[in-house]
Amino acid sequence: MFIVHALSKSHRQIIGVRGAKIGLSLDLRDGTDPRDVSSICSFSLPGSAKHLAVEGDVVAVPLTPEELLVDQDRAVRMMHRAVKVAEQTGPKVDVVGLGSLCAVVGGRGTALQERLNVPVTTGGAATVWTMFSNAIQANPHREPMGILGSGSPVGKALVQLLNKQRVPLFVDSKKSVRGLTGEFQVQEAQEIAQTQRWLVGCGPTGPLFNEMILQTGTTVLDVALPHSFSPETPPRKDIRTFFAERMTMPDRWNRGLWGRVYHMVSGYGYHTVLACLVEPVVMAAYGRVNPYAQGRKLDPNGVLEFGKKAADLNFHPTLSSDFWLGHH
Amino acid sequence: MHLAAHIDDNLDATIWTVVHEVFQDALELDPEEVEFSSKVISELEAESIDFLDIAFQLEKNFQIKIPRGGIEKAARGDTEGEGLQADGTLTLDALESLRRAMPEVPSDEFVSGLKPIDIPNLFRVGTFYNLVVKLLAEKSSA
Repeated sequence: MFIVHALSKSHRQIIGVRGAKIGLSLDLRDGTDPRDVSSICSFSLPGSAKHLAVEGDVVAVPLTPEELLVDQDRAVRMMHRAVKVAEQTGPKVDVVGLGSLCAVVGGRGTALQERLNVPVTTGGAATVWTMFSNAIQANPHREPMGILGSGSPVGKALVQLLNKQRVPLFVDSKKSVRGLTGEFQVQEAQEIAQTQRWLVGCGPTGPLFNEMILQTGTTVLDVALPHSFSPETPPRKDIRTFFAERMTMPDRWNRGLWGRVYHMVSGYGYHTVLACLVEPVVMAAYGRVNPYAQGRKLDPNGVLEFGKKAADLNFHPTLSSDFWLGHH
Repeated sequence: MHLAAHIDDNLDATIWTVVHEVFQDALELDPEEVEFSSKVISELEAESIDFLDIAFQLEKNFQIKIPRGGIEKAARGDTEGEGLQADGTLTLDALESLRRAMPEVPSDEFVSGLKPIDIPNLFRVGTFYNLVVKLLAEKSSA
């Protein structure tokens, strides 16, 4: 199963409509009642000779980002409730995946793991794999790249993988290059953004800098939604921004009507899926019980293994700049 | 200075040990890198998400509730206009409140022109230690 949260109050109302929670849909309730945790959609992948069949539920905690952050204990309790909801409405839960801020609060999955005897994985390995693959695909000549948010677990693993591929790097955290050899420099994030033509944002790049400081011809691969760039200024046409965390889906992937709606409203893109959802799918398909990513642990070898197994299931990283459909 | 080698006599060793471990784990640092006076952002390279981790671990370990933005609010809450001037910088009153709320920060860092967004740059590891001590005292007196 996969746990998500409301991105905004209006998003919460949509969750209320989907879950037939009248108080939530009319904005009469604030989403803190555990009874308002709602199943959003189901998906499935038929089994084969090489892997198990996978059935999954996406369950929403109707708390906005602000509400998740204000009380992390409550957030963890609500996520625990989400697991119970999934078990009530679907088959036994074997793996729990966490979306967006659910993967960050509560010690990045560790607090929820303490309450459950099934593995909890944050999606970090899938995120790194997709960003890494997309970075190499977008920049095949290995021009220097600036890595913003390089001190995060995702950033560090990405730096290690790109460093192995001999991509010259500019990073904003000296911790991210500890023990590495090769071509890299540590600079302030602002300086990197101003001077590098290839930028990879391991966190939302919008709050880090104003896009007006970027050079003409800059390409930004953003782990979050490129829309996080200062919404009050008109988008620049002389730079390129890509969703760095999207994957294509196998033909046999079944997501139903509500799954399609969910893809559209949550930023997955109609024809693509965010990699973090694929991580628990890969674990379930291959019966893996060790989380690929939890807490700050994110092993680059696990990232590569995830990539291979995801490819075997026909989930492939893709560069996409279209919010709604996920087209290139 | 290594934690095991020396704990300041003025610190509560039990609390400091936990705070030290939380920072070490959350920021993946060697023990000797975490000192009471370490600047959390510029020296230990903490990012906003790391603050979430740190707050959560401190809350869990000490069974306390750390209010979001608690330090900034402590500094600005009782000052006129929330302690802000028209240009968004902190008033002198707010700076003084902040200085009192964060005794671990050298007083010459509370300079005029400081904005609320700059406050986290002042945070030391000791800021969190002192906050824990304060919240534990409030809890025990409640």
